Amino acid sequence: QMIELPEQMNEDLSVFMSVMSADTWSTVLSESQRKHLTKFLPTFPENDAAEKSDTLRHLFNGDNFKYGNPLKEFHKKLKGGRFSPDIAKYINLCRKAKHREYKCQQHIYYTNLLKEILINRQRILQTASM
Amino acid sequence: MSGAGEWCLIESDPGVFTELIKGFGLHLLGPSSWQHDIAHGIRVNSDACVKGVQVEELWSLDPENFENLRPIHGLIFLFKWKADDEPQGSLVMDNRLDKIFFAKQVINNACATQAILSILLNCSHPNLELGKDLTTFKEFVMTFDPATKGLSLSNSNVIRSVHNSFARQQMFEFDQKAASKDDDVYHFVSYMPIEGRLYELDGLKEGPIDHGQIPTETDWLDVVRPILEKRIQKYSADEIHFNLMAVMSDRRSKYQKRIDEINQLIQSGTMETDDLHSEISKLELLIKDEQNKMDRYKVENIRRKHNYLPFIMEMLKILAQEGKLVNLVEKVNGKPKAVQQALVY
Repeated sequence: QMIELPEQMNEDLSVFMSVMSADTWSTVLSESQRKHLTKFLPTFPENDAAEKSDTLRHLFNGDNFKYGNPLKEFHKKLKGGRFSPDIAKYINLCRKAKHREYKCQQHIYYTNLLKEILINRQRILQTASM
Repeated sequence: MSGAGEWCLIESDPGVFTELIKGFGLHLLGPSSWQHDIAHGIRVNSDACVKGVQVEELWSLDPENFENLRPIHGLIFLFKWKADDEPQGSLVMDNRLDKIFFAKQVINNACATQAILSILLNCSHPNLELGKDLTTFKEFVMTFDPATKGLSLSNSNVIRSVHNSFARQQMFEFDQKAASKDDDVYHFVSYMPIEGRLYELDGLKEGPIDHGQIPTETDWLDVVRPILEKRIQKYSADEIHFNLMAVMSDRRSKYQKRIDEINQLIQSGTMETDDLHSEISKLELLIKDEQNKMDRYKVENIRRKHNYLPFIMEMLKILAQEGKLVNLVEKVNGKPKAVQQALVY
């Protein structure tokens, strides 16, 4: 799925944030579009509607969610090319390679650990029986 | 390793961690200052214990975020997998190992429990007292090497049964697609101050990692912050999801304990009760505050853990489809330049 974005949006955080803003939300989008987008927001057990609009306010304000704001984090990746097809492909390949290396490391770790435990346990049992 | 099947996987939710700690029968003594504060010099029995250490998730490293949670006894990073990294500090191989509880990761599923135990068994905070089971366990394994400590932990029936009482309700919040198809396990790294130095306890390393002296008059949290920042940056760059959790004193049970003590004083009828009644209402207010804060926390958790990428993509898509993106950019920034492509994934 491809979306074409004007270059200024990728380059400039302030342009991006003014496009993805509370203003756009309330004046540019239609009622049915807002309703559709609301489905992608988290669901709260109580005061769902109020919490959802609170969430939107925090999101568009650029407030911190979890070590950053989702919109700002998105822009950082966008600017870094994370979403352009070629780069995305190589990032995913790189991730897979790192993951394979990790699996390998885990294997080595447990092989060594088993040896270590067998030897140490033997030593402790011997000491205890002396 | 054998025995892994007997350890169930539990979720990384702070609430589950909190219950897990209670399950270990940990006791928290009221701050000693209370014993001095009590009017008319009546002494309170210091054997009286309060159960209560709790775990809260951290969403930012801002000092004010830490402020609300003090005192923090230790911090736990949890993540699904990581590339091997060079430790920032130096590996402890000397006789400090006799004093620091450090166990190697033997059973993966036990990692949440091991993360908490690493902090509890090393915590010397005056308010904190280990229950009987953990004290016995600590004494039993203290002279063992890290690998045998890990083995003993995984063989401990007491610890395992507490752990297993928290059967997994759901997979980790992380990467649910990946979780269903591969068998990745979870890792933890704990950070805590021990005898004036900052240590990192990572069960996959050969020993504790020493991050150096905590300067006097300095809060250990200020020393650990830049180290955490570096780690978070690395995880974000590698798109590895993580949780950062704080093990802290449970204020509610502290206040409740004090109320119980005052009620006893009132019943004994040996002293003026007006002051005591007003202290009780003050404490009840504080408990209510904490309760409100915790309720708020649950809502915040839902908000902060959500994945907003689909929302952002969908909003961009709608705006792009109707050609509104170009208009909007034009409005703030003059005529749009060339059009770039973005990939939705």
